[in-house]
Amino acid sequence: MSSSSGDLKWWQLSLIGIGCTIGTGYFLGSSIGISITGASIVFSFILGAIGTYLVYNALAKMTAKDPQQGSFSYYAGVAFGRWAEFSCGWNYWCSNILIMGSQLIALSILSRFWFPAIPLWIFAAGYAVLSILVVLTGTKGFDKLENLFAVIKFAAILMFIILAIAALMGWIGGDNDQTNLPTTRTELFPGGLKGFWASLIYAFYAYGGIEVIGIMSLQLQKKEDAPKAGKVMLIALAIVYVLSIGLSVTMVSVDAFHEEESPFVTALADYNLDFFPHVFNGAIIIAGFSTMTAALFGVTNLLAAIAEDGNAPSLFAKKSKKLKDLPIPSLALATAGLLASIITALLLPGKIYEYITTAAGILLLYNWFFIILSSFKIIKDNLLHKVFSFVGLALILAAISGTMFEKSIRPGFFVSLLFVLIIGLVCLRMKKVWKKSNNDIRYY
Amino acid sequence: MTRKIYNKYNESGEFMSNKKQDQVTTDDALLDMLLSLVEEDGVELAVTLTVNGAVISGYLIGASDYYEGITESALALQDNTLSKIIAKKFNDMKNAYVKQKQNDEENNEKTPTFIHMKNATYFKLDKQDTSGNTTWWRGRISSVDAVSFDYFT
Repeated sequence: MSSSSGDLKWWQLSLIGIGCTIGTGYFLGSSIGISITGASIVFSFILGAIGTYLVYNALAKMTAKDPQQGSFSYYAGVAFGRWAEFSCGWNYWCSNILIMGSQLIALSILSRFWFPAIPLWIFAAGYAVLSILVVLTGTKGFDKLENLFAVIKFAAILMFIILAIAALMGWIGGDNDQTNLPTTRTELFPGGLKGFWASLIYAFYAYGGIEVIGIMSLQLQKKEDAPKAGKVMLIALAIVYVLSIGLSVTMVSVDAFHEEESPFVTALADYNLDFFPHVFNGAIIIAGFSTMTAALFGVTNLLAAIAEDGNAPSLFAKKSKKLKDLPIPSLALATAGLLASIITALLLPGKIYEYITTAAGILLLYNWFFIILSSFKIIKDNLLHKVFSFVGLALILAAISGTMFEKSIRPGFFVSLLFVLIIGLVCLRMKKVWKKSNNDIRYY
Repeated sequence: MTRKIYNKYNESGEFMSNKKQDQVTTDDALLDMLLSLVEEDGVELAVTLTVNGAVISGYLIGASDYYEGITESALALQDNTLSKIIAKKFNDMKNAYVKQKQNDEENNEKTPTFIHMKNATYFKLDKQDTSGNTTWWRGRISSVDAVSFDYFT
């Protein structure tokens, strides 16, 4: 990540972005969105794509102007001061740890599809160890595995789209040959405006990971290609998401979807395709595992970068020479965080873990909000950028505020506020330390 | 590749500049050694420095001795109230110096910026008869061009 002139072409960046983004947020999270707002989830996904693109665009423009390894937290620091750099870095770290924890649990739930007798924690521990091993093999091995995983994920979605079209055309026999193409307003928005509003967070959640691409755009051959790479990537993602989710809500009624099963498995359940749940379950596990490992890798390097900038104890910046410059203390802390989130999930009564997962998504959106705010200060004199940025801010605010309207996810909003409060308190405490060390006046 | 960005922000926490400020005030190993002798070991040393074309002779002393010296000098001034105020200010600066030095030592960042002398005499090369005496002298280390171990009076 350190080289300022890389060898990536823009389309390679787009592909990596697609591979990194498609994860459990899309495969599993979308079913919660569908159960809240029904078929109109498709519009949520389109709005989510627009909002995500605006965030990416702001980040890419700042990166092109002043390429920095610290990425969004560095820019937040330039725009608003050290507290912003500190909070953005740690906010991102926290949200990633929580997201990883939730992915781990999702993977374990899915694995029990085949082995219902084995307790959840054995799967969770197994995937965690496997993920740490992949990270320990270093960047080279990681890249190769990720490319393979990306292909498998994409193939799975493609398979669903083809099968779904075949089913709708009546080429595959099934018990259910009735389509549910929504035609009236109440069919399209069964949850009303509030339901639609609340579903936005799940659409955004499926696009999470865009910051990674912002950081990776440092490796582009031509930095000015960064906005193009993002545009292509998000258009491709939006088409795939809208098409696949649009098809699944057309095939079965909205009531059939629930959060422990992928909407795509639900949609094809009535078509006597015995192999499909197995293959698709495997693909989701691979997808979840690869995004989780990417997140673990990213979080490990992120904390090292935070420590290098003096916003975390310097211990976490230490890199092991034996293990390909991997910051081992940072990996250890991420592992501890991961363990804590698994234990929370297993010990606390069901719902609380869901709240934390929602909170993680909201924390991510706080970060996006800051990316756009920073770009206001850094990219000046561009009216068009300002207009776009306001639209982006409005969409993010809508997604965050939407969580307050749905009873089942509202506590997640309060949990996210709790995390912000903790980071804020630490920030206040750190301010005194910064004042001491930031003094430029010399007495000797 | 540990980057030191502690002076990236000013006191109120706003971002200042992209480049990190150069912390090394001299690349002269000998001057650096002399400074360490006077600063850390409390040695007094007679030297003559060339500072931007001016020649200055005096006893090299540490910052601690310098602050104490100017505080005492201030107290020796005629006007009682003013001298007390100035002496108090000088003493405050000494305390701030002690604090900063301790802080720097904890962070392993010993980076003196200034050089101090007592009983200093300075000469101008172009006009031989223009010279002056000052008891306490303070200058920027980075401005020192040359050092010799002579002592002119």
